[in-house]
Order: sequence, then structure tokens, then C-alpha cells
Amino acid sequence: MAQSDAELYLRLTGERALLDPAAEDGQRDDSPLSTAAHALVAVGALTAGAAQAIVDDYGLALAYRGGEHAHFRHVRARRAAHRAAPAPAPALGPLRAVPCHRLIEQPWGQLFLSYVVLSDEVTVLHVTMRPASAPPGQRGVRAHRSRVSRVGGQGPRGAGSRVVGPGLPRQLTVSDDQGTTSTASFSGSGSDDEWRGRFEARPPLAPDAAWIEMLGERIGLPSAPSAGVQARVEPLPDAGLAHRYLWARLASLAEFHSPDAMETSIGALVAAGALAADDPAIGQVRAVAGGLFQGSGAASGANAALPEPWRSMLARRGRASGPQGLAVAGVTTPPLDGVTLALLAVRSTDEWFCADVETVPGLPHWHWPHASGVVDRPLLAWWAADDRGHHYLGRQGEWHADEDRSGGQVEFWPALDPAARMLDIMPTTMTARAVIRVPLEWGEDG
Amino acid sequence: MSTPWWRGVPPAVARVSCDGREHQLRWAAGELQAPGHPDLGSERILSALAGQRFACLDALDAWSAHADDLRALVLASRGPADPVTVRPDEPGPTGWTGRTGRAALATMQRRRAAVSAVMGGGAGASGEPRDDLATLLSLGGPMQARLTATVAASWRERLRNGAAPADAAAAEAARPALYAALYGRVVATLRAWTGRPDLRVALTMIGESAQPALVRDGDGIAVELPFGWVSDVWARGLGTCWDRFGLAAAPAGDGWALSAVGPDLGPPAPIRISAPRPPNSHSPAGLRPGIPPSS
Repeated sequence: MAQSDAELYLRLTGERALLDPAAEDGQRDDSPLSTAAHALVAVGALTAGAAQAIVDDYGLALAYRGGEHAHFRHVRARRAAHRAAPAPAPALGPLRAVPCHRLIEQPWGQLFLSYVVLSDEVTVLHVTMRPASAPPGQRGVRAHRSRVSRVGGQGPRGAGSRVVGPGLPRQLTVSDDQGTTSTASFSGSGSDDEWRGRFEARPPLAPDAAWIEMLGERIGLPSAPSAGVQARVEPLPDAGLAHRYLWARLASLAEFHSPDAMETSIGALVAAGALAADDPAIGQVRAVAGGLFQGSGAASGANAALPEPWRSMLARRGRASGPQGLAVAGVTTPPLDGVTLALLAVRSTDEWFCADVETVPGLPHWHWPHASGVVDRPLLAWWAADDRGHHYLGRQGEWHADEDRSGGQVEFWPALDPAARMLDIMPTTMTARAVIRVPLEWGEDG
Repeated sequence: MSTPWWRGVPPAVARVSCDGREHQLRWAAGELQAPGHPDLGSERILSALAGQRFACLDALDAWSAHADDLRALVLASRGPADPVTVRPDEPGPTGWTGRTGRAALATMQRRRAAVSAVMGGGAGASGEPRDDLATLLSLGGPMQARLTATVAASWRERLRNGAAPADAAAAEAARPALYAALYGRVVATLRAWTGRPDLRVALTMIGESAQPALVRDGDGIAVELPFGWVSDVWARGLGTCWDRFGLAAAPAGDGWALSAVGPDLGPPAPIRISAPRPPNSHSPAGLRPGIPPSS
């Protein structure tokens, strides 16, 4: 297919969006316009520059009609500024993650220190805090999302100057065995009963500290690294570009719950000639999408016919028997398509589990407006697999990011198999994946 | 001699705040004019020497710069059912009237600065460089329609047989954008004509000298039109006329002969259109059906 045909397909998608504006938000990542552009760029049918110009023009046309011109220009300007910024070096410095599992009682309540991450840049204390007023029966129960509030670290304001929950501290003073003292600021989310998050100390404590002190208590930091934690990057098996794109896109679309976007991707690839209309992969993708986005495509009971890793994942959907606890990893991957990732820890509950991660450069959250409508946004699917043959799919949850660095929680489903003893977290691009192996040696998590 | 593309498109006027005064921009016979600046050449020199910006002159420059800008066809209206209201981030070249005194002077000065920023390509509140195409679109619907007609006519010339090789090559490279511009306007017109907002339309963009056609296609419509339909028919407000869909328009006396298809989607039949009505700045076209179809 000539580039002009791909351009025509994309422009007609834009025209249809204008003719039926109720069905389109041109800047959402799962809008037909953005979805088609992303697919066409990914398979090389259209250059990113040409596709972005078309998406932006139709996005502006839609914004004029929706009275959102100013907002559109603001989002586009932020995106342009982000693109214009010099690319940071794809490196994540060495870090040391140490499990602590330490409960500290205070007059204002409790602080549970799950683990500490030490590096040359920052010291991060991963904590759960509960105010003294919380009823005992509520303790240990994860905050209901409907009641969750958030607070972000805004820099030093003076110890005790602000609180996050009823009487909970926003800042702490921390020190180490090498004479370093620093102030740590809190960011996280919570409710009246419980706040989870992180205290970040800058300047950092010594990365090789033997102990730290906080809230009047000394906490030893064993020097032995987590046994059995490994990380490597490996290429994906050879497959056609369009096939690789479809499967990666399907995994990423789980974030949006949007079967229509999958059909748009298929349509664009077929129109571009990158995929034959009768390619068997289309049927497989549709069947998986039918299971993934229940109510569309194949019946969810037809899981047996689905390819892996989807089959095992969908078969266990809805189970709530995961182990409870925290496994600290503290491992950094080699660069994966220009991104270096660190897996800090894995947390598991009855219904789900999550990975605490850091990345360099920063990856935007899929839900952030300025990250949407980017036609060459790399696809990164968060897969996981355990030693029992089960697969899991993740997406970004709570997240913090700038251009240089990002981090937060990747939330996986279904719940972990309680019999699993080893877990591979596998961030996957269209060409390669990192495999981060974590022994599931659970410690208490708040 | 071929018919000027602007024949049948009546004049239009937009008001702008220029150098502290309210001026008019007037479009007529295919050209945008600034009647408030009778000595354009001298004022341009003064403007350059003094570093002073005039919203009217900037608008003329912008119009000239965007006279073949395909982005205008993306951004502007597809028809009466698709009004496009563009408001610049800052107070723009339209919309103020009726104030007097010191407060009015201050307002005018602020707006003059704002218009200069808009036309001069400075950064706006969004942090993004100004797009003076947006400012042209903000001149209002009638001016938008004429900008669309201007751009469409420019590209139609490049599509004609005998166009210079460079023009023909440019038209070939722009074919996806031209097809899309035609598609959006044809579909919007057909859907309004049939009253079916979900009407399926299969469009074939034919050569400028080929015969247009429209037939039933299952529960939809298949239509074959040249890109020139945008400037020849749509821009003159002849997309639908007397409940007919206009396929082509040709000059006939002081009016037009329209080849049109009726609601039964039968063969096209001619309609005679009378002379333009008096100039109406609120209508993209000044033609009106003068003789009811005989069939």
C-alpha cells in the first residue's frame, strides 16, 4: 500500500469523526483517529510526522466544534514541549531495595515501613500509615477507593507543617549510620483509615547504609541482596510486524476496555495492506478481544480455543484467592527499547497484585491527556507469568512521572495463584521484553 | 474564457479592530480587500519601517498565505449543519462595537496588541505559536466559506488537464487531502438532503472533465464527483436545490444550469438558476433557484 493510501484512510477516519462527532474524541488514545494513526505508523505505512499532523488537524477541527480549542492547544503545546526536550540518557542508576516490615507506633497512630529503596539520587521509604483514631477493626483493610484522597510531594515545607490524614505526618526526619540526616516528604493516597505511599528523602541517605533511624527507632538494613532475583532482556520470537502490533495493542487496550479500538486497528492494518483481510490472526485477536472485553466477540466460555498467554489469564479472571504480602526485588533491567526499568517489589492481595516500578526515561500514564493522541507512542504491555503456567496482564495504576523518570504501581489481574513460588514480570514492547524473575517470598505488607 | 471560480459567490464582510478603529475586511470577486486602507502600498512600507502591525494588513497577508492551504479544508465547515465557531485565545479581530471614552480606548489598545500578537505569530496563552489560519477562520462563517472556496478553486486548477507539471505533481501528492475534503462535504450534503444522518456513501473522485453520477447503492448512495464539485457546486450553495442534489453547475446566461438528481435517485435533470440575489454576507452563495424543474 502506498503511503498516500494510508494517508487517505486516516483522513477519511477524521472526516467520519467530524460527521459523527458524538462518537469521537480525536485526542483520546482509543479514538478511531488516534487508533488508526498509531497502527499505520507502527507498521510503517505512514511516517509519524505525517500521521501526527493529520491527527492534530482533525483534533483541532473537532475541538473547534466542541468549543475546546483552548484546551486542545494547551495539550498540543505540552506535547510539543515534551518532544522538543532533549532525550535523557536511558539509564537508571544502581539501587538497593531492602525489606523492613517494621511497625512503628506513634502518638498519632502507626507507621508500617514495608521496604526502603536507596540510591545516589533519593531514598524512598514505602509506608502505610494509620491514624490513632482508626477503629481497630479497620486496620489492615485497604482503603476503599471511593474514599481515597491523594497528596503529592511538593518539596520541603518544614517538619510537621502539614498532615495528610487525620494527624498523619507529611514529612519525617531520617538519618543513617554514616551521619547523613535528611527530610523525607510524603506522597500517596488514602482515606480516613489508612494512607499508603512513599516518603522521599533528598538529599539521600547513604546507599550502603547499615541502618536508618526514623521516628526515634533504628531499623537495620541487611546487606544481602534478594536471592534469586534476576533481570534480562530478550527479543520476541519472529513474527510479522502487523501480528506483533495487533497482539501488543490488544494487551495495551485492556487499559481502555475498548473493543472498537481493536476493530479500528484491524481495519487500518488491512487497509494499509499490512494484514490480509482473511489473516487467521484477525479471528484469534477478535476471539481474545471478545473474552477480554466481555460482551463482544466470542463468548467468554470459549477460552479453550484462545491462544496463550490469553487463555490462562482469561480462564482465571475473577478469582480472589491471591496470597497476601510483599516480596522485595530491587532489580534493574538492561535497556528495553530505550527504557530502563527497575522492579522494586511485588505486592499481593486476595484480588490482585501489583509491581512497584521505576522507569527511565519517564513513561506517561495512559490516562493523562497530554500523553494521548501521540501517534508514535511506544507500546508497552505489562505481562507476568508464574511458575504454575498462569499468565497475568497489568496496567499502570498510581503513577508519577516527568520526562526523565517515572514510577508507580503496575496493577495485574487476575489474582496470583497462591501456589506460585516464582513470578516473571515481563514488560513487553513490539520487539523485545524484559523478564524480571522474583521469588515469591512473602513478607508482611502493612 | 472559463468562468471565474468566484462567480455566483456574493461579497462578504467581517469587522476587525485595526489600529484602534473598527475596520471592515471585504471579500468580493475572489479577493479579500481592506477598504479602510486605501493606500495599501504606502501603509505596508510605514508598517515595516515603524514596526507597527495593522490587523487588516495582517489579515490580507494571512489570506494570501493560506489561499491554497489544505488545512483550511480540514478545519472549516462541511456545510450548514456543521457550524464552526473559532475564537482566538486572546480577543481577536472581531466582535467589539459601541464603546466610547477612556475605557473604550484602553480596550481598543489591548485588543490591538492582541490582534498584533495573533497575526504576528507570537506565542499565545497556550504556549503554542499562533496559527493565523485560526484567525482567518475566526472572521466568521461567511469568510470561512469563502476561504474554503478559494482554497478549493486553487487546487481544482491544479487538477485540470493541462496544469503545469509541478502543479499536477502537487495535486497528485495532495490527492488524499483533496479526496477527504470532497468526501466530508459530499457526505454532509447527502445526509442533510436525505435526512439520514447515518447514510452510507461510496464516493469516487473522478477527473475534472469526467461526467458526475449518483446512483442508489443498496441502502446507501454511490456518487462520482470531481474535486471541483467543492468550488463549483458546494461553495455556491448549490449542493441541494429544490430538493435535488446538485452534481454539476455551469454558467447559463446570468445564472446557472445545474445538473441535479431528484429524491428518487433517478437520472440527473437540469435546473435553471436565476441571477444572484443582492449581496448577503451571511450566505456563502448568492444563487437561488429561479425556475422550478419542469419534470
